[in-house]
Amino acid sequence: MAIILESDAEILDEYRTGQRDRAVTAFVRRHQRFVYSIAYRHLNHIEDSQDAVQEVFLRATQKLNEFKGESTLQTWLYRITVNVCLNMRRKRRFMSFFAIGEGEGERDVASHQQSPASQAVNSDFETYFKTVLETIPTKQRETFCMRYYDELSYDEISAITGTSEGALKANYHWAVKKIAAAIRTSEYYEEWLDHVK
Amino acid sequence: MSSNKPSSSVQDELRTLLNEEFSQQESRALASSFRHTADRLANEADSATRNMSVFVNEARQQTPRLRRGVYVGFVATALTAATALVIVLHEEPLPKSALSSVTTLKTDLTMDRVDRLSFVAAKKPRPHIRSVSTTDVADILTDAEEDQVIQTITQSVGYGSTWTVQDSDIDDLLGGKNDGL
Repeated sequence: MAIILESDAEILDEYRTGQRDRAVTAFVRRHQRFVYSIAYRHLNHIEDSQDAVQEVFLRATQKLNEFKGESTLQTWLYRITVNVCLNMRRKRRFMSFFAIGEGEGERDVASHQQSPASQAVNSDFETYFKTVLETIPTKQRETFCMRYYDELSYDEISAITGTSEGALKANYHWAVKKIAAAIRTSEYYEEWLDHVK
Repeated sequence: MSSNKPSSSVQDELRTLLNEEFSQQESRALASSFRHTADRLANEADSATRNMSVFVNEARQQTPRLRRGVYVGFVATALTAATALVIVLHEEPLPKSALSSVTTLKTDLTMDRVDRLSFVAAKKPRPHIRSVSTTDVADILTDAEEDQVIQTITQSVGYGSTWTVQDSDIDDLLGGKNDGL
């Protein structure tokens, strides 16, 4: 029995033959940041994203025994996460249509608000960076986020999105250049240069 | 959990791309700004998903319990239904004597009902109308005294009958009896 479960294979093996709770703990810890990042990009709301993450792992662990390894666990989790987020967005639209709970308008405002602690540490530059990220086309943004933030290989991104590796590399290339160009012309860039010197 | 900073291969790829457009110094500054935001996002994600494994494990424990409850409920319902079915199927058939008793009882009840209907019919005789022609009455009247006439009429007509006499009939009757008065 592995002392620390580091790889997906070890986690799956532990889940099937050993202590399930231990395997689930390792599984969640290994992928929670990845799942949260996807959820937040789709939902743009901290609490909803947390709910989505829990739902994703709950669904995944219920089916973990049936996972055949035809794709990587990350690819599998990505699909589950997108489905869960789509369901949540649909539910949110439905609830806002019938004015149950928070309205959609309130939600949008809330989604851009950050916790006081987060606000205190976040500089204007970071906020601006996020804003720039939101202005670039969806495909380019998603490719950039999966490649740079989630550190997926082009092969994995291709398996998830069904886009060719060449197209993905082009998307990433354009995304990086658009973000860099926007940052360079912003009022925050000089401050950033002083900060990094 | 992976480290906060993007791996060196991803960071190198980014820097290469930036080098195509910007000076080396600028590329370094831009690359570090990218990495800084990546770190911030990773920290936010870690903060938002703290103790997530505990929540997931707790939720996992609750889900089978719920399923078990549903299963037990289903089994209990199925057992109750099966028991009821067995009782119905094993119930002893009625003896033939019981069937005969039921037939007799039914006949008695029918007859009793017929008797009651006859009694009701006897108590309330159907009214009947007898018509007596005026000439017959006139003949009777000419041959009899008034008391006899009444008695004759009563006997002829019977109890409960109705006898309507028109004015012309009375004239005929009176004329017949009181002829010459």
